Amino acid sequence: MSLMRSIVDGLRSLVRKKNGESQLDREVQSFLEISAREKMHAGMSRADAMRAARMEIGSADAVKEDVRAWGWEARVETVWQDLRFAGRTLRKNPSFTAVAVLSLALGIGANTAIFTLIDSVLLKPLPVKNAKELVVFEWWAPLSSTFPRLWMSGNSWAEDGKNVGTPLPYPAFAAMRASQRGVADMFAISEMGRTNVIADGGADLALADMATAGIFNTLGLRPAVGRFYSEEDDRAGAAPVCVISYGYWQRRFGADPNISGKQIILSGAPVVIAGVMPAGFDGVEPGERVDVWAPLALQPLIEPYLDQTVSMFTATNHWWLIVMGRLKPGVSRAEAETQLNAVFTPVAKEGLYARHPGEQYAIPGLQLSSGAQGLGGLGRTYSRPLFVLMGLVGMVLLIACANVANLLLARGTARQREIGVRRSLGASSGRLVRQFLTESLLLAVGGGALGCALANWGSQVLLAMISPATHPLYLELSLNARVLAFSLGLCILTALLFGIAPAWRAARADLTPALRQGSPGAGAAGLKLGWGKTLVVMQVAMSLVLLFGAALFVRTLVNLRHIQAGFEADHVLIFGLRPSSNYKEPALKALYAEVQERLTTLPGVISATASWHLIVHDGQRGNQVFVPGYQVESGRDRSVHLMPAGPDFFATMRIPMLRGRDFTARDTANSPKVLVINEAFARKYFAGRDPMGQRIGLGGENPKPDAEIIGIVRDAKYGSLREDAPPTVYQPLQQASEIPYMNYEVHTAGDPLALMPTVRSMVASVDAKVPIYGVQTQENLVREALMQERLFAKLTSFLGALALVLACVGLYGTLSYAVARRTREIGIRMALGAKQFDVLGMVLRETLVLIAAGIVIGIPAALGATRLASKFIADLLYGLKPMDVASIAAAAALLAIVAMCAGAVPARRAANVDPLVALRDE
Amino acid sequence: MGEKTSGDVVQGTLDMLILKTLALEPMHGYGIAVRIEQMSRNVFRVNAGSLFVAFKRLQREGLIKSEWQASENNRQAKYYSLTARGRKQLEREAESWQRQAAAIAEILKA
Repeated sequence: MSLMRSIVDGLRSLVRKKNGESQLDREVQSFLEISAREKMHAGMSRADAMRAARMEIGSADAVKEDVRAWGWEARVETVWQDLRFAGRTLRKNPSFTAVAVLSLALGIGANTAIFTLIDSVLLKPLPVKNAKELVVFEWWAPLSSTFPRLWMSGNSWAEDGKNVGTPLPYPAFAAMRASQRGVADMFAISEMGRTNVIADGGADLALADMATAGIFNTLGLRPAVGRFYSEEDDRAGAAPVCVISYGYWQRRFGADPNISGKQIILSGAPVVIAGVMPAGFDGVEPGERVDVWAPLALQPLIEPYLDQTVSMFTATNHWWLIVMGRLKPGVSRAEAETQLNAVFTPVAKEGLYARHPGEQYAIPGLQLSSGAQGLGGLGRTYSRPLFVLMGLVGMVLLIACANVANLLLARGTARQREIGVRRSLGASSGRLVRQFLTESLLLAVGGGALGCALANWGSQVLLAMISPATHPLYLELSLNARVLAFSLGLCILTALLFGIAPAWRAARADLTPALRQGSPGAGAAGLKLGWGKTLVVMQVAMSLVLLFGAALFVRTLVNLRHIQAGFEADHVLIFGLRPSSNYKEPALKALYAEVQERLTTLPGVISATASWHLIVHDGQRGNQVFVPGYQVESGRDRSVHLMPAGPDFFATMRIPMLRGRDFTARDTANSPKVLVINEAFARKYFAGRDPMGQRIGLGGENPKPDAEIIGIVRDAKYGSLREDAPPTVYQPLQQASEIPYMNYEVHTAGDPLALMPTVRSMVASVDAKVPIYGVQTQENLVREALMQERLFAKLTSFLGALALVLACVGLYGTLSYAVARRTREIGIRMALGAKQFDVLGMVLRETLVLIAAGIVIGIPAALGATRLASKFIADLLYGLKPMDVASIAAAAALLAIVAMCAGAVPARRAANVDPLVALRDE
Repeated sequence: MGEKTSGDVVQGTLDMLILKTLALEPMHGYGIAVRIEQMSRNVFRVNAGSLFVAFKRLQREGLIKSEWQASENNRQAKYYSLTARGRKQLEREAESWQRQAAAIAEILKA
């Protein structure tokens, strides 16, 4: 049988139903007539013949029904009938439908919104050819404090009990590429960050990467305009070229069709644009939007800051490259890993020993992780919070489901008569279950559709909330096939979850009492609200879990807000300068000094300073320190944090000077070397000794102790608000090594941002070709440093409140319903002498039992959930343990109070029952 | 199938019997029913509902086709006829049925 014919034929009979029906009528009619005629031939009268013919065929309608019921189209018919019936029923009950659809929309919408983010952060593949075959090269080493620091520029993190990081040395990359093992193609990238670009006479900052020419082939990219650069362009001495992104081409160059061959100044070097990347490709790190790619060979020209003393292309102890590759067909990641490790290990060994001669350390190994979604940095940052949120919104959905189930159950009881009639007319249990589930599905799909609309908006809001103003996340959040499949699946799942119990009850319902009873729901016999109460208890328990989560995160935020940061963030304006790389010493430091000096003279400025890094913002600088008289126990023990800072740094940031003096303009490259240390440094390296006037050395291999400690400051946070202030050395800017970009901090009398126009014109008068970036306030930096915590506190509070409201609606509904059904019973009790107070107490007691049961179940559930999730949330909390007793007590108390209020309304209604009315009601 | 009483057509054989009837000549529904009863010497009785469903099924499978024509006494009736596929299907089914019937007969003899 051909499937095609079946489909076409079935469709035809669906579409042209009238035609099919009349054909069938005619055929049955003609069958009867021919049959009768035959019988008349045999001698019967016409009337007898017709009767006999009809007897033979049985009921003509039954025959037609048999024919109609055959074929797949008949099943479609039934489903359509069920749907129409369900639609009618739901329309007849608009308030029920609205409440159900709305709570489902909130539940499904919240889930879809979080999933949309998870999708774009963790699941969406890079928009390149066969992204599944891509791998990211990573080094790994045992997670021990004795693992020595190499010269590294890039990300590293702890994972599965080991240290893992992306940067690799060039010689390792070159050796692995030459070996042609495991991977068919590979390339290396070095991120330049925001880089000075001058084009058409205007300067601005663009996000730039240096990449080997292999990037285009490996990723399978095709230029949108012009050409990509080739291996020949990616050689020392080749004419400098670059490739720009499609977006940058449109934004910056107005989609100029003659862009190829145009010259721009990239970080001070004249570079010719060769071509434009395809639309949609923004680099290999999702969330970031790379504007310019330049050959790696241009490093000495455009990114000379890395290290000018050695060649970055031969040094084995400088790890600075992100390496990605495409697996050879048929080669697994594990196989390629083994093959490449043989090439990688000797280079890693050489690098390690060059850095730490004569010491024995574990040699870092190489691992390949999937590069299908790019480098995965975004995933590492956001996967935990997103999974925690997913769990929370999942619970909200469950509570919403419980609510809808409760509503359906209550309504099912009211529909007992209808069900009884339908059953007695021959509807089977299966048919009734199907009808009920169709209704549930219709509700769920309605909620899902509304939820998707909510999610579309909600995920954008969420993204804006998690996206730092200084470093916006570029994520395309779309309701793609994966997301839609997810929410459709969610709809079906929820429909089953909340629909199965009511359907089950309807199917089992005994029809005789239902028919016998006059008014629906008049008697309470056999209609215990077992299901409904169970659901309410479950809701209360789950709300407690959510409220507990909210309490944890709110307390974390409060704890973090009360942290002693050690500096004052108010009234501090911040901006950065990024001169191009043809600014060399000493002009570079002269520029920095001039801007700083002129800032102090601006009206409204109390004091102004400069620092390489901003406090609690963009990372921190580490350095080795040599302190005479301090016993060094391991390599890491000499690591301290270094903050190159300008004159008046401590005055401007208001970090209390305990002893000694602030930096001044007289601390120059030629003056005696000086340093300021913090208390943590003094405690660690000068236990029991006086640090003032002592000389220490900074740098890797046995530095001379040539810098004098001229001051001690109170501990102040540096990289992170959460960490205790690390031992820190402050160094005068002018005595620090070359600094490619500079940040300024200006303590103002009034609104810091109002000063910005004056600052801009001042900087322009110093050098118009030096762009300003990152304009904001220190207060905002602190706020952004707490962004994730604040977001969590807000979201979990919102979800907790939502859960509480839903649970209260459930509780209120169940109790109101119970009271309404028991009006007669209450009337009798009152007629027999029960006081209003007794009735009130009776209902409240019932409420209390429900709430107490929910809390008794909820407490272990909440503790269990946090224990289960402790891996995810431990890092997100601050100043408290996941099993915080105060939090759970607060959550339980809040829940009990609010829920009792919800229960009080029906209780009052019960107490106000007039026995006369109640008894007459029958 | 009792000895005396006539029974409904064995499940699954109705299709084959319809095909066999139509192998002789195109026929309308009533004619087919009567022909099956006659050919089986009134052992089989065809239920009209099953018959019409079978027509729909066989048509869907492309084994028979239908056309409105004037009947013997100038009344319009829907005439069914075999398609080429139907003819082949009949051969296949008849052969397999005979094999099975023979086998069952052997077993019952033993």
